[in-house]
Amino acid sequence: MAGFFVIWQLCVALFSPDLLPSPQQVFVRITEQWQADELQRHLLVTLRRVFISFSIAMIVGLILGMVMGSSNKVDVALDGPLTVFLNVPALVVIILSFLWFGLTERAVVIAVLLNKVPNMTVIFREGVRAINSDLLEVGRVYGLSLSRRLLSIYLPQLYPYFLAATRTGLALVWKIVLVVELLGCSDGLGFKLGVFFQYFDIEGVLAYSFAFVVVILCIEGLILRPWERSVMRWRI
Amino acid sequence: MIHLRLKQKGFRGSSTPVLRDVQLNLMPGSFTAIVGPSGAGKTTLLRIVAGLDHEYDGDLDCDAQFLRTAFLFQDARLMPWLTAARNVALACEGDRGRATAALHSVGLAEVADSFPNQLSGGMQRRVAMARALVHEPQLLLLDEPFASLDEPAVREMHALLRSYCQQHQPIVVLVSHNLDEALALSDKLLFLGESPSTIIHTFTVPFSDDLDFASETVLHTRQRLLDKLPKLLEGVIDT
Repeated sequence: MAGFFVIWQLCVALFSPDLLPSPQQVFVRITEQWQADELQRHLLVTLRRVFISFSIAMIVGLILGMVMGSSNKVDVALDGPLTVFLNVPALVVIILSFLWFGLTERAVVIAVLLNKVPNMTVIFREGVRAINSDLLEVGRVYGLSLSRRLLSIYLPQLYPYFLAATRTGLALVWKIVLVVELLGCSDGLGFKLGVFFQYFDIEGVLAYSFAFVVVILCIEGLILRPWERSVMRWRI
Repeated sequence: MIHLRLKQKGFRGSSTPVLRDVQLNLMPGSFTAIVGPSGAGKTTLLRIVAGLDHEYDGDLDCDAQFLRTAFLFQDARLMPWLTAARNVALACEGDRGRATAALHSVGLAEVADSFPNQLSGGMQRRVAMARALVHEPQLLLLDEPFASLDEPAVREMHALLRSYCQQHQPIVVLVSHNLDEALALSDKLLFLGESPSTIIHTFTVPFSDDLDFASETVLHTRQRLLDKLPKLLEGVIDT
């Protein structure tokens, strides 16, 4: 982290301060924006959108992945549309969502879902295909209830895939949310970045990006890592 | 009681059946051993009795789903993400106390909190044994359960199995490669022939559980079997 700031400071010396403000300037800007209640307002709006669309994408992706992974027929039927949605540019989906659903929160969530669900589906489909049926047999022979089998035998085999889906999912979802906000929202980080862009305000862009990166690192360090350690403890 | 009338059992993609015309009558308190060469369908037969394989021609009178069943597979099949104790507890509604007691009975109380990948192959099989017995099965299916254990551990497991059987009178079916083990534990031996196999010989074990391999009668009986089924028993006995 210290190395990062040293390199940053060195780069500032090489470029004009208009193109790359110093870390101090960015920090002062963050403090100002925080005191003005601006930063946290937009940050929270964006985080809320990320959280809602990520959660829905995770649930829908899990269900679709489970169905496609366990039934050949469904897999064949849905594989075409899946490939199409995996490859449609995010921008097209975002613009169409706004055109169809207006500049609403619903359009934001739908745009993110259409971009993200195919990705999650693919991850969970692979997870379900890798399920060890020998272990499921143990559950059947010993007459475990359906919920017990699901919680103790089935889902633990999917945990590595949950982790992968969460990591790539969060990373992708917040990038998409920002683009969505840039194009059709009047609040959120993406909207603010758009405003800074129009004023050529590099300091503002860096201040907001930096704040968001800190939040992402906190999510990684405080939620994802401990979760990974607890469910993957047996691999150590 | 379980009654199986198996006309034929084959596998998809193969024209010749593995098993044909096999009849089994299994009574509570009976201990049946299935002995035969590799590929004779011993495991397949066990899976049919367990209700894990339904794709066969024939019928099973009392499906395993009506009986409390435990199956010791050829591999331990422990859940790698659960500790030994929690693996055992799966078979007794999560009762930690009973699981710990069961682990104690197989001599593994001290590894209750270890994960399977921290245990040796033999220890994993003993955990699987604890999981099977803690379930208090009415039908106990054993697929070469003691193959990777050392001699003292095998004797310990035999003793444990006998005491369980005396107490609970379950139906036990054992698949074994080891004729002496089959003679020592079971009261009936079924010999399967080469594939497509059927029961080519049924042998009722004439002596009690605590078999003494030094005794004249036991050695004589063992020899008689060896004489009768020489080709079949190749590789099935330790000479």
